[in-house]
Amino acid sequence: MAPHVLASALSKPIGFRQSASLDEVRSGGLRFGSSHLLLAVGSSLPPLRIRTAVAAAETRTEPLLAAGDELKVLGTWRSPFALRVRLALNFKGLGYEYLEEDLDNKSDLLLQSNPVTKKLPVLIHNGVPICESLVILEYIDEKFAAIGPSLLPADLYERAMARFWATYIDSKLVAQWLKMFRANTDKEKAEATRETIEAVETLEGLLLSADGQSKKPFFGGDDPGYVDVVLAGMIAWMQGTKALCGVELLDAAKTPLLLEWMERFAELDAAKLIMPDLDNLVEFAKVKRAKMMNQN
Amino acid sequence: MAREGGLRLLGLTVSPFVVRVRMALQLKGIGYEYIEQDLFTKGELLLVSNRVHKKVPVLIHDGKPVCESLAIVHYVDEVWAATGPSILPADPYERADARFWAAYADSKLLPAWVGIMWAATEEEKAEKVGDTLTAIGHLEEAFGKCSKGKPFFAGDSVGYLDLVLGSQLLWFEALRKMFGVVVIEEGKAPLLSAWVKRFGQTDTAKEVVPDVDIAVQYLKKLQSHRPGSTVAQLLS
Repeated sequence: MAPHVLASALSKPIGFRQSASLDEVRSGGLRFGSSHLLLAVGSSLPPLRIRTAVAAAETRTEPLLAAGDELKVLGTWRSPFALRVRLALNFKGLGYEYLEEDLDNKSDLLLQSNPVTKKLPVLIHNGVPICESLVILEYIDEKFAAIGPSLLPADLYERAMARFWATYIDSKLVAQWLKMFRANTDKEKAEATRETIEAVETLEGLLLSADGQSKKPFFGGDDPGYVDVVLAGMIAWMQGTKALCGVELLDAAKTPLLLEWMERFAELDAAKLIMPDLDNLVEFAKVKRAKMMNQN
Repeated sequence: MAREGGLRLLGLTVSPFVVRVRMALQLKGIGYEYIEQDLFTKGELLLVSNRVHKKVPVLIHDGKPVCESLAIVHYVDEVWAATGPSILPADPYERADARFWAAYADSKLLPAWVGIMWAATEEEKAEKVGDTLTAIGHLEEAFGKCSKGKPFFAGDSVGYLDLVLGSQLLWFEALRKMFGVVVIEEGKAPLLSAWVKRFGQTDTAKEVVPDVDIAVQYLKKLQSHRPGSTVAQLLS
């Protein structure tokens, strides 16, 4: 299908709109779709017309950013880390080709692009690979500073805070969640569960303003930013925790702000089409865990 | 060295995470009040400044705490962008490359050599030594690519990755003394071996890195207190 371009100019600063036509194809448990994201820019700049495509695996779309500029993302539909990269590119209105990897049969491109750790995601910009999701996010923010909104805040102290919280999400939430999910003993599971819940409660607290009196719609403030993108990769996994681990990570009493944030975030144009389907994710994770246990 | 009003650093002299921050401040020529912490009995200021982790380093700038060593180094580079040399390179791709290898040095190399110190069995120790040498192998290759024939990872003078890896060197010396393990061996990692010597000669290293015996004494103290320890408890 040929993407068509719509343009719009708004006087309010950065916002996102979706065009009217939207196709969804459900195939083998994966959702594919293409959408045309519009970038509305503040009144101090002329309106930009940017074409983006959220690509189905193996289908080459027309992702060109500018003449000669080519972006590819290697990932899997369920990887929280790959999701961060795709979200960041979508937020900035950057077109890219998405390539779904089979981790049991890694592509030559992946092995060549990331020979050191052989992990996803990888961003390939004009043939040059960049690895590690947080490194990729900062690269996108810096390399394409002139395009779309910034991920990191402008204030230097706030930037340091954003980097702190991104590291926290990886070292506390993600690491402990994995330990909880893979735990072999009750003791291991209990400890990791405690740590994961503590991390979730800490993040809940971040959505309150500094004086604790009001709520922030996003971790980035009025608009989503770096920390939102970093945490968003884990939304489906957090939602699936009840089914996967028998643990109530999210509930209306203890984590109301996070629940609202998740709903709000998932509605954003940049997120809508690429957030993984929860049921598929849970099924995939159960099968994967069973395989791993059988191997042990 | 210009004394910056309202700049304090809470640290542990031998912690690689603290050393790299001190190196960054030294490079920029920024004065600060250094406050050594007792990690066995944590002080009020540390507990209040880093409520989430209660770890060092913490840079307190005009009363506002900045935590996480790499976030602090970036903060120093950005706040004092007009002062002294840049710590991170200007080009976004080179920045990404430096950050990738810094993350690698912290997530693959560091836990491996810490694991040598805490290994319960000879088998575990051998495994950790193996992991350490594998990581060094990758960093040796990285040096070749990043330095492009120049003396440091960052080129003509030290930069981000030099600091991140350079802050760990003190402990390689301690490992040699206490365990007979040679992490960077000239025969196996000639480029890094030469870099280690050069790095040791810089003002940055000379002014900030404590004597290896202090690290050895600290490890002995830790061994008597906490049998078996994670990185976090050991060095931050």
